[in-house]
Amino acid sequence: MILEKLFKKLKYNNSKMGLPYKEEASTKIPYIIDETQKLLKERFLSSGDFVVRRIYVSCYCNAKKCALLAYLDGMVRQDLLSESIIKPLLHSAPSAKELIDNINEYVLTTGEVKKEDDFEKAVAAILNGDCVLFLENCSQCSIISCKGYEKRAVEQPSYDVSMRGPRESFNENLRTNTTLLRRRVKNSNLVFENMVVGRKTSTNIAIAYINGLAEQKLVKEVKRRLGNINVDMILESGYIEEYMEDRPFSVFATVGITERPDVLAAKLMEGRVAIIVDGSPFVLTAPYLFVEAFQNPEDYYTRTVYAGVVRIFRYIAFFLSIMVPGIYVALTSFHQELIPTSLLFSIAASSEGVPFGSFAEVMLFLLIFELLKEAGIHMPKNIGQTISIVGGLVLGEAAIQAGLIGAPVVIIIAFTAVSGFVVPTISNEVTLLRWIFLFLGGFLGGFGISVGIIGLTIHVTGIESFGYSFASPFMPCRPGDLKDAFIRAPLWMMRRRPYGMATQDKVRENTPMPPDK
Amino acid sequence: MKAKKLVSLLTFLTIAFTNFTGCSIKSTKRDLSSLAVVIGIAIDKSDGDNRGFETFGQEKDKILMTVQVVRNDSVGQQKSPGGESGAGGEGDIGKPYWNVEAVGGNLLETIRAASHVTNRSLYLAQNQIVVISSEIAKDGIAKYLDFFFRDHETRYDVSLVIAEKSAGDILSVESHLDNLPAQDLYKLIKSQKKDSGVPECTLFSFIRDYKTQYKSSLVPFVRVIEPEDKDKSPHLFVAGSSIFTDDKMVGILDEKQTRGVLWVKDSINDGILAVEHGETAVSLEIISSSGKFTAKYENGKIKVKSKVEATLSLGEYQGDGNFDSKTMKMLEKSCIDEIKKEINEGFAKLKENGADVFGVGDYFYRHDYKNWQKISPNFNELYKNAELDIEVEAKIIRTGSLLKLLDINPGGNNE
Repeated sequence: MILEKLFKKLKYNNSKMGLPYKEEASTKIPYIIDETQKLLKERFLSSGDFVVRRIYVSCYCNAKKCALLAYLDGMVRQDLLSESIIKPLLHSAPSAKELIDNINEYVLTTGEVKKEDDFEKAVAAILNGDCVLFLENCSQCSIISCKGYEKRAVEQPSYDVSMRGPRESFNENLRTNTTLLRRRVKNSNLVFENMVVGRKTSTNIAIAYINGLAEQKLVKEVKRRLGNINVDMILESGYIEEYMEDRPFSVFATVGITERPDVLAAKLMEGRVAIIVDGSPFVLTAPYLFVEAFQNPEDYYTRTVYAGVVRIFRYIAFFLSIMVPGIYVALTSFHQELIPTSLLFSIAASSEGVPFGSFAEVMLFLLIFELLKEAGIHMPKNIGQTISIVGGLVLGEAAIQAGLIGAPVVIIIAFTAVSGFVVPTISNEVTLLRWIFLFLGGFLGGFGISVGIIGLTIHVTGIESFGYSFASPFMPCRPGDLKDAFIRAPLWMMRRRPYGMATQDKVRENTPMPPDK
Repeated sequence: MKAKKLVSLLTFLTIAFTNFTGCSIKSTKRDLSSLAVVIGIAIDKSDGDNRGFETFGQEKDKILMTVQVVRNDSVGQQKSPGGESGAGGEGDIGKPYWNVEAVGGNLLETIRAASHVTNRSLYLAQNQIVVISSEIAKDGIAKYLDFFFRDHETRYDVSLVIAEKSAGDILSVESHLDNLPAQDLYKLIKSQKKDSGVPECTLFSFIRDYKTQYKSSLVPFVRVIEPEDKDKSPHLFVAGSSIFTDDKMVGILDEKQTRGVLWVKDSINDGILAVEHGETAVSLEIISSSGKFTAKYENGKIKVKSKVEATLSLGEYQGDGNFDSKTMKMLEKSCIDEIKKEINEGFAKLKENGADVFGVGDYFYRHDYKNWQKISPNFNELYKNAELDIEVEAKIIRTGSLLKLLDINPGGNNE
């Protein structure tokens, strides 16, 4: 009975509870300019940054027509506004017949100008940073593009760092991001489809894919999932990621993120679809496979042999980081006969006098480490030094000397921590899995670890990402794709794109190698 | 439906975890600091002193068991120089191990009785060696080995040794190189492979040979050597082997005799063969060898024919003179003679004790059953008069780093 009630509260995906998603009804632009101004003032609630500028355009036959420029201060480029919009309007004399067309085509010197007759769309344009020109006795307005808000410069990536390769990263502006991508894929088939999500934030997003490479099925599925999003606000790509995921409660992410345009270009070339969200430097990619976490862009810019070896290290680091605390606890608590004798003596020597059992020791120290890590992320720079001293000396050295923790445990946790950072893309999953294996090993010993490994394997091979098997190319085994899984085969060996993607255009490259003399 | 199953599963697991294994801060039973790790077990006949223990078995069955327990906090440390047993001033406290003595009727009872003395439960899974005194060995040791196979914690690939006098004393001989005497003994036995003067014996191989009808086995033999010089401490000496028929010890073989027997049993891996070549002392290193034997029953006598092939390399040649292929051939002949001598000596001693270590009886049982039925009633008599025909092939394939000889003509310059 209790479980029933609990369960009812947990139900997600219950569309009966959803709020209705209604399009704003389209409104006509008032004929009389004073009414337009009043309507605008009401809409923007006399906001401090909303500016309305009246201009009188002198027309050809000496009639002066009233025009209204509406924009948000701070969102438009003042120089463009005064030089290319207001100046030509004041200094020109267009004919009064079809004034709006004349102004759009003969007077304004800005780049993009659109005619619009829906008031709501005009408001949306103002909110996006454009300037809107309303004319007297005209039911249409001009949306003039002159966006010029403060934005961050293109900087180095902070998440996807690599030694070799370009250092540009996406920033929060949608247009900058699409441009960075455009520069790398100079192909007219690269298409950006715009969408607006978020009822109250009206966030712009762009779905990017290469027409002819990306599977139509995949693009349709992505659009469908995005269309289903019925939410108030979208602040970061993470929100969209959560609404689009296949398995919200799984440990593993099934939607990829990247911060670098070169990585994104490579993923698009494999036939994937990208979702660029305005306001977030992290771009989503769909689908996302398990192996992609271990594919660092640097692998493809360095030479084959080194890249292959480093990739194998990453897999080793991943598995060690997950299992070492759990296996240590399982061995010392349940299976002491498996530990080699002299190692057993060292461990026993350091456990003697420690008030905690093995499981409690490891759990305590792992918890301390996780807290230190969290504290380090959100630390203001000035106090960063203190944390490293506190963490290193006090917690490590002093704890051992005080007899609270044994030295092997400190080594184990330090090693686990370091290996956890070898593959930063998967470090969140590693943290979760590490705790799961620790509990399994501590409570159920070696049996628990085996159960954990089997469970993990079943889980990884059972989930899907947008219809593609998450564990591909390991399961189902695609030998052709294994070239890029454990090792990195030379670029001239990777002839085809991954299985299931880009079925119309399978061949990537076909260079005869080694170079024929 | 999926979420419901997930929630009920998680609830069950949480309850199960916290109750099955005792989610206490200090896990009680199996934590390392609650175990007394045993690395050596020694079994002696009880010497009358009960040491406070009460036994429930018969008086004649009482054994004195000594287990060497590792002291957790000091075993991981380096061996301090000059740390003699009496230097601490407190006898055996402060050493990295402790020899627990317990008296009891049979082995399991004694091990449990040790809980009267130790504050932790004995943990036998890391045990490396079992030492049994010759006194007990003469009466049969198989009954003590049952425990090692039956208990789930003990391993039966541990080494088995027979002690010359008292087994408990073996475990108290301080090692010069290691912290723990039992570990020292174990490593000592493992290092005997280099000289092949001592057979390899584990509990498992002993029982296997014991269960093989009509076959005897060899078990390594360990002694304590006390030097004349009072300043030097006693040390262990592992050499030779003891002969076991059924599970009773019937005799001792010394090193040469043991090696002779091992030649035929095909157990020689490494070792040094010292031969007298005329007046020169020569040492050869055995690289590999193989030994086979067959047996026949002819004219009322057992004739054992064995074939041994040895590959040797020249280790040391203390002499001068010519060194050519003729010398090598003669050296090989000397080796063959030496090997034959060893084998004959070993076989003679075996016959004397009536121990069929080669497995002649077993050979007849398997390959020549008709004859076996004829000879088995008087096998022991026939075995004592058995004849051994040895065919040895020795090949010297290397001469070490030198091709020729060092010129050791004293006082003479190169002319």
